[in-house]
Amino acid sequence: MKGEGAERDRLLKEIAKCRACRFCVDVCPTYQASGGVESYCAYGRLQITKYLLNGTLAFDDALTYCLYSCLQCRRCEVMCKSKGQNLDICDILGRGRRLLSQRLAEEGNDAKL
Amino acid sequence: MYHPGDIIEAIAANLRATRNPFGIPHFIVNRWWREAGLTAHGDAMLFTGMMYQFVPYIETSTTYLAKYEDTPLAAYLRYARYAPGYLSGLGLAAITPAREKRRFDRILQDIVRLLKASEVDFYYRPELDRYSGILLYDLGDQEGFVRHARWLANRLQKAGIKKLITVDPHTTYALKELFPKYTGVRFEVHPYFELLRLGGGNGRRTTVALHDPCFYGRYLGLSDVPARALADLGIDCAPVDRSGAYTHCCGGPAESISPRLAGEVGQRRLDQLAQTGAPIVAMCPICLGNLRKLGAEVRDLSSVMAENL
Repeated sequence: MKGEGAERDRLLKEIAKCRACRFCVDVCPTYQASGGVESYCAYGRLQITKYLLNGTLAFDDALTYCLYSCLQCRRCEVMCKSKGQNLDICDILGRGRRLLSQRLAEEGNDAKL
Repeated sequence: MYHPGDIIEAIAANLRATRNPFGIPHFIVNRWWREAGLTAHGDAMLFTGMMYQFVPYIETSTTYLAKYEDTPLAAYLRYARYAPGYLSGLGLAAITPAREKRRFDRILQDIVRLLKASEVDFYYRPELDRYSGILLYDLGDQEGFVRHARWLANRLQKAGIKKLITVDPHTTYALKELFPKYTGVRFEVHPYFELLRLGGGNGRRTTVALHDPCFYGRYLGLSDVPARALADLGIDCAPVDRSGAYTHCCGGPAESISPRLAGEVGQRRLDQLAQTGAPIVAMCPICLGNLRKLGAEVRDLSSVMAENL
C-alpha cells in the first residue's frame, strides 16, 4: 500500500504537467467515435485519473469505461510532443489503470481507488 | 461495455493456469510449423509469440462478446474466471472454424518462405515459442504480465536463445522494450521484414494500401522498413491518409472491453484505407482480424510479398 501511495503521488505530479492546451483532443480515435465526448480523449482521461487519484470523484462503471476504452495507440502523444509538452500520456494512463486493475481484481465491481 | 475487471481476471486466470490467455492447449494452437520444413538449429530463432495463431480464437470469442455486450447476460462474464482454463479453452477451440485456423497458419508459412528466399539463417523450436503476455500489460495487469514474462524469459535464456525473429508488432514491442525493463533479460530482436533481401520480384508492378499498426508506426518507429521491403519486390504503397507517426488505430485493442467501440474506430480506419482504391494490406494480426471483421478484404503483408516472389 505504501508503494501504491508513492506511485499515486508520482502520477499526480506527472498529470499536473499538462497545460490543458487540448491539442490531443481531436486526434483521439475514441473521441472521434464517441461523437466528441471529451471524457473519451487523452485530456479527459488524464483529468478523470487525477480526480480518481485525489478522491474528488468516486469510482464508477462510466469512469472505468472512459479509462479502459483508451486504445493505447499514442496518437495523442505525437500531438503533445509537437506542442512542446512531451507527456508520456499512455504510460500515465497505463499506470493509472494498473493501480485500478489491482483494485478491480481484489474488490470486483465495488473497487475504489 | 464489459467490466474490465472481469476481462482481466478471465485472461489472467487462463494465463496462470495454462500459459495461454484463452486456455487452449499449446499443441492445438501451435500447429503451423508441421508442414513448414524447419530446422532446429541456426543463427536466430523464429518467435511467433502465438499472436497470428490466436486471431481465429479472438474472432470467435469477440463474436460472442459483441452479441451479449450491453445486455443483462454481460454481467455473467464475472464467473468466467472460475471456469477451469483448459475446459473453456477446448470449448473455444472446438467452435472456431478450422478454415480460419488454416488461413492464419498460412501467413506464418509465407513468412518462412520469405525468410528462406532471403537466405536468412534461422531455426524454429515450437516448445520455446510461447505467448509474450502483452495483452495483460495492455489491460493494466502489470503483476500478471511480469510473472509470465519472467517465466518465458527464463525458459528462453536457459535454452541459450540470444537472437529472435518476430512476426508481429505486439510481440516485437514486448520482447524488445518490455522484457529488458521488467525481467532484466535482453534479446536481440528483429521483425522478419527487417531481414528480407528479396530484390526484383516477379516483374509485376502493383500498388497496395499499407496500414501502419500503432506499434510499428509510433511505438517502434519502423513504418519505413516494410514499405522498403515491398518496394524491393516492385510493390508500391499508395499514400494513405494518416500513416507513420500519425497512423490511425484499427480499434483492435478495444475488442475485448467493447466490440462496439472497436468496430466504430475500425470503420473510420477502413474508410481512410479504402479511399486509396488499392488492395488493403495489414502487418499486425490484431489489425488484420479487426479490419476483416468489418467486412473488408484485407491481406497480410507476408502473403502479398510471398505471392510476388
